Amino acid sequence: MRPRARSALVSVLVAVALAATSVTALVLARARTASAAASDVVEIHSAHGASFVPALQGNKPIFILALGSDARPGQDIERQRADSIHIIGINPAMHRATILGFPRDSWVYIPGVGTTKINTAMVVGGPSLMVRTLERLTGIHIDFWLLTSFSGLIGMVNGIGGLTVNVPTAMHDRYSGASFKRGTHHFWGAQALAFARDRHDFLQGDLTRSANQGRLFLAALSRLHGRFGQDPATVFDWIAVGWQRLRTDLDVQTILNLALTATQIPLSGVRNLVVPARSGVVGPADVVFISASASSIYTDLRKDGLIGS
Amino acid sequence: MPPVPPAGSEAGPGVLEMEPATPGALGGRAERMGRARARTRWVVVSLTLAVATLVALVSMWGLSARAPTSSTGVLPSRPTPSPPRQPFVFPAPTVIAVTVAKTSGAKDAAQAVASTVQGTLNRFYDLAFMDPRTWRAGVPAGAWEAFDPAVRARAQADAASLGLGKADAPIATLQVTQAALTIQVLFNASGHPQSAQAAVMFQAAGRLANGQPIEVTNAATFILRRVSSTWLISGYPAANTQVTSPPPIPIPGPSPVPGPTASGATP
Repeated sequence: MRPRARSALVSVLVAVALAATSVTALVLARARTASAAASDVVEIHSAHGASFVPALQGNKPIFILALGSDARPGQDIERQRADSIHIIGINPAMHRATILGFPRDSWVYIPGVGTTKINTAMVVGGPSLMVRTLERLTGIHIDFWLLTSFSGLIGMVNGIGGLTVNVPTAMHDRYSGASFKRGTHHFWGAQALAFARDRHDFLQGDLTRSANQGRLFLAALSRLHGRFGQDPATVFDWIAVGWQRLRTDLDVQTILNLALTATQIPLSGVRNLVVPARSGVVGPADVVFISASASSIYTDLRKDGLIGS
Repeated sequence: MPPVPPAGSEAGPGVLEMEPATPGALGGRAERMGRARARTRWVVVSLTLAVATLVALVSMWGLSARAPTSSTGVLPSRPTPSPPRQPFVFPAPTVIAVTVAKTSGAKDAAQAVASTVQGTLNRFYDLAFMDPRTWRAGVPAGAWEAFDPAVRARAQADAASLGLGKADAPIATLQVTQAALTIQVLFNASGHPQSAQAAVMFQAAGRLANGQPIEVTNAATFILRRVSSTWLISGYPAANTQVTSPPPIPIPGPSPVPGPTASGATP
């Protein structure tokens, strides 16, 4: 091979070697980049999230007496008959609760008054006498009481955006205004009140009505869970809505603690029941006689705020 | 680059003496000069090759240095001198006063509470996310002072949700890209602040020590209560931190090279 040809060959070889080296380096670099890019976003660390709600702790049950007054506009709600009477037992440690309803016509002993319809206690002595009456009847120490009215209930239900309620049987009652098919309904305030007042549609009248009132508590708890999950500040809003429509011996901080505790109680952890009773008559009055078997329920509830735990 | 022939050379550039010169074509002196020229060409060609190899090696090294050093194929960071670190501070929060009764001055009182709450959260987020000590060794103990002593241990156990937690590789740089704070203050019937709730949205971007880019997203809600003269976190109904790596930025090349694209398709 002639020197000129050799020289040309060497030049070509050098050029090819250089080009090959550069291309190899580029391809390698790009392959690495493309490989990483193809895997899209790489999750390095993802906590699934943590939650700690400063709910009430401890094994000591908390008992709240929830009352609904039948006061009409302009009347003192603390001195009218109690149409809705429930003891709510809360077991913070077990995240469970009990709603125990008492028919408003229950024939019981009222301290300082004698034996008469239970709802008379509020007329005579306000919520504090209602507390004493229930404590004497059940042997349960009531920690706090809550009282609302017709308009208060309507305002609260509207204020929290309504309640989704499962209506167990069809209701058509012109007295209360309840007119609902069986099934799930979204109630605004007036509908919730009608649902809570109707007793004429049921064989067990006052007993079923009391159970339905408990269903409203459950519906409220369900809504609280849903809203709290989206925005924990919901609790503040609910307290503000409730405070203006409630009378209570609770302070705001305790209500907050209870509300936060409620967010930790699943619906499945709440029992809604009414004291066993039968209808009767005393003189001209229709009354409800609480069964003797109720005493075992009180004993059970008093122990830990739960029935059948 | 082809070798340049020496000045005065009659023949083309010589490379290797593979064949003897044609006998009788040149005289002895001319033959010696021809051999000398050939040697010179050899030296030039050898030097050229050496330079070319060096250039090629340097090019490869340069590309490798710019290209990923880790298996993840992302750009490593270059150490640059940074100014002294400024502690992280949330921008001015949205403040909402929640009253249960008519409360005069609730707005101002809520602002005052919010200011203290923000201070508590500023310190926590600075230590839990932005402090370089956290990037290397996890959230420092001082961060947990933002929590009520009653829940401090619980919060520490949830460090990976409340703060950065411990990454597999240490973080080299991190800068806040977005942060927002909404504070609600609940007043009691007497107009005293009872509780505060803070909703936090926090995002930051940076790189791991191996050069891998990362994005940090934290969303949390806190419940705070007054403890002595300050407001501390007493609960966190929701707290979540995610550290992810976005797709790497492609290296700009001098010319397009056929190959897989970011989506895996070949053009």
